[in-house]
Amino acid sequence: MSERPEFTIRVDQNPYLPAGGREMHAIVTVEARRPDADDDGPPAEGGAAEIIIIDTSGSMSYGGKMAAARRAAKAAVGVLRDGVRFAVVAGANRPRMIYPQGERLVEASASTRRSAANAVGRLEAAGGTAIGSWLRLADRLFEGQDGAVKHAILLTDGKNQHESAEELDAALRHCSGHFLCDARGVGTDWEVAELRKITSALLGGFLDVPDPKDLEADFLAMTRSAMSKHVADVALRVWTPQHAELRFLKQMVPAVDDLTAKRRESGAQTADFPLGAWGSENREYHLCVEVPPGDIGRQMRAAWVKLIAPGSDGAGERELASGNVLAEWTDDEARSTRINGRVAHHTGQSELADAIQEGLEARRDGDEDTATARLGRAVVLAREVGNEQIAGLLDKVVDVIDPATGTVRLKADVAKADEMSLDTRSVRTVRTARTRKNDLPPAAPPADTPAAPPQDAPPPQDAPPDGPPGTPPDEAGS
Amino acid sequence: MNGDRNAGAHGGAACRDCGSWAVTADGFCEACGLRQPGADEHAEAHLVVDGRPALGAGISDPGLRRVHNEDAFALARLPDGACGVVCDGVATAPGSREAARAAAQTASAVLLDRIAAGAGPGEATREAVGRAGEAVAALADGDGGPGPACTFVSAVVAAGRVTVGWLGDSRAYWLSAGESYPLTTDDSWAVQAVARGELTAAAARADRRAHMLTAWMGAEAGAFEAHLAAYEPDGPGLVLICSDGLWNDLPDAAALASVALGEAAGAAGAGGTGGEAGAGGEAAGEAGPLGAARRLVRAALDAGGHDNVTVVVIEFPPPDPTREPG
Repeated sequence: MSERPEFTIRVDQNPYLPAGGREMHAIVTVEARRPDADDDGPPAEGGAAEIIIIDTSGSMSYGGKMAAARRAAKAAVGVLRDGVRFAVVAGANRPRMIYPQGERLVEASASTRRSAANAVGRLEAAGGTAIGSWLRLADRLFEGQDGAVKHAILLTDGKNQHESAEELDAALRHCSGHFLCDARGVGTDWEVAELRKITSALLGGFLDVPDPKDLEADFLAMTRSAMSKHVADVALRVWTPQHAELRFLKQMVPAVDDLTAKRRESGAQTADFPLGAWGSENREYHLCVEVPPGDIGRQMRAAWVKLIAPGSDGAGERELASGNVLAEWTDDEARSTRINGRVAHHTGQSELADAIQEGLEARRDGDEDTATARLGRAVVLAREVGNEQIAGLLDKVVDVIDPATGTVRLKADVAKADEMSLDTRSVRTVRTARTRKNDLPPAAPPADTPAAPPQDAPPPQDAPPDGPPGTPPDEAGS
Repeated sequence: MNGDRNAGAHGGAACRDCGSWAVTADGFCEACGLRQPGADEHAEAHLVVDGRPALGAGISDPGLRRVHNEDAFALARLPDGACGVVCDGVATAPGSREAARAAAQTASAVLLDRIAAGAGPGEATREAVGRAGEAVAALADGDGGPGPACTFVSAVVAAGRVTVGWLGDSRAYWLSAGESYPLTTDDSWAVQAVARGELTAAAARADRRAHMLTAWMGAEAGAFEAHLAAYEPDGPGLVLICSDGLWNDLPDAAALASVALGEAAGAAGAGGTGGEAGAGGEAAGEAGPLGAARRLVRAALDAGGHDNVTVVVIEFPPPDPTREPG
């Protein structure tokens, strides 16, 4: 299994806390890289299953959406790898099997891909939208595919009108942890918050596709990405000290997603957070833990993060990588007030997403003061973190008078598609290339502060020497 | 990976902050998270019989007052038993930490070699002491300053017999549920003054010269003759070799025995069935020589931890994996 990706964990933080300091922030970067990366990579180690769910409600017949959806679904089927177990489902008031005919999955091959494409070509739009029932069908189809990368693609063009919000929530609770789902909203009649809730529960992402003709390329990319996933059901295990509290764990790259509530206790001092399936990629997480303060000069492991995957063939779980979040109490203000650049960057992106979502909600509610203040703040933050895509989308919703102070005026006429795009993409973050060398100085550094830390204090990131005989090598930072 | 979620822990020392026996190899407590001062100076090893810790264990800890650990130990399995060495670097001589390590490692390698080649334990011990002394002398840089120096104590526990060799004030003890007693006599000013009839034991111990060594291993030691002694215990027990960081505060053999044997684990440790609680995680650490070594180090730290403390504990008789003992 030399083709299995190699996982690494990197921790960026300023480990120094002032006397009595309790709150420690760190950015945990998880990277998976195949040693010999070719175009496609190997198939998933436990197999893969893919279900394509196409909204066929009546509204899909307008604006060329149904035709675009047929083309997109055909394209997706066309790039399924041989051997991937798949199905195509049509969604309306109730879900309906399009391919194969019975409630089951079939293995992808030249002939099944062709038959599926023919079946997709006969899709017609009629009826309503009940997404929870579509997901429940997918869940039944995925049953028995243990260990496989189980992924669904959901396309919708409308609100979930033909079942209650409670029914959808119940379906999400039922399906959560069973399979992953990425979603696309086509047109402008679907609800951003709804797709955000669905994909967050099912560890996926979603995007707006305002113009149906873009759907085909988007489906191709999404399916190829799903086919590149190699390791299923990865989890981040977080150990914290006694009397400490994990305040939050947020995915920050590729998009903001608060994982805190997905916590699953896995030991006396450990909790697991599901991270879904992985191909060759990297993601970043912002972790915040509150620890009991230590004396000046003491060091603490504030968190121990480990990447866990289930073992193959029922073997025990595997530890793929681990890293340490440290804390060290110091009376040197130059150290304790420094802010790690990556922590600052992601704190800004997180606040940016909140500011946009709150601003747009206030705007929809007619609260112009709040909308102006929050969207103005978003303009400042988008500049600070260098998120040009969001800055460009904000420009379509507000007139920026002074980007430095965030003085803005709400535009009178905003295209629905632009507002939805801003809302959808508010959580899409940009990476930072900053390393810990670029730690930001405190806002008002004392004039006589030396630029470099004194030499007599070894940096706590240093790996300790080999352990004593008979003990496993230290795993920090591996 | 052994599937144990505490696989990273080696449980070598108690955390000084919360008391948990779960300090990982990198020095952080697995309960409260605090890094132990001098964590890099701590070492632990234990032997494994039938996949369980048994037969022998050693722990070396810098104590609570010192940053560096100038003690060293070695522990090795023999064809029908085990051997251990403890050396204590003389703090006033530079390089003594290296001296202690070189002496312990050299002696242990010689013991293994010679006994495997069929030498008797007495002959092997004599040779081990000689070669260890050469290794320490070789560390001196020869420019006139005080050369590195260390004490020495070794124990070979095999074939129904306990053979100890020593030089300086590191000690060996026989500890059992019945009788317990020291197996060595210190090469120290206090012991010699008592032996000459000049002082009572209590007066000698109170003298500021009490700990002055009268024999050691190293450049200025001259030609030394190690002491050698052999015992044939008639029941099960534990052989303890240790640095003065342990016995300074706990000199009495009976007191050491009650700490080492513990209350619940006493029978298991002394009876050579140290592995019987092996499946129980934390309990496995408490029984047998590993549990005994931990309790002894803990006791030294609780008594103040004024000095480096090093203990090696070997079971007698060695557990026989092929049959139930006794």
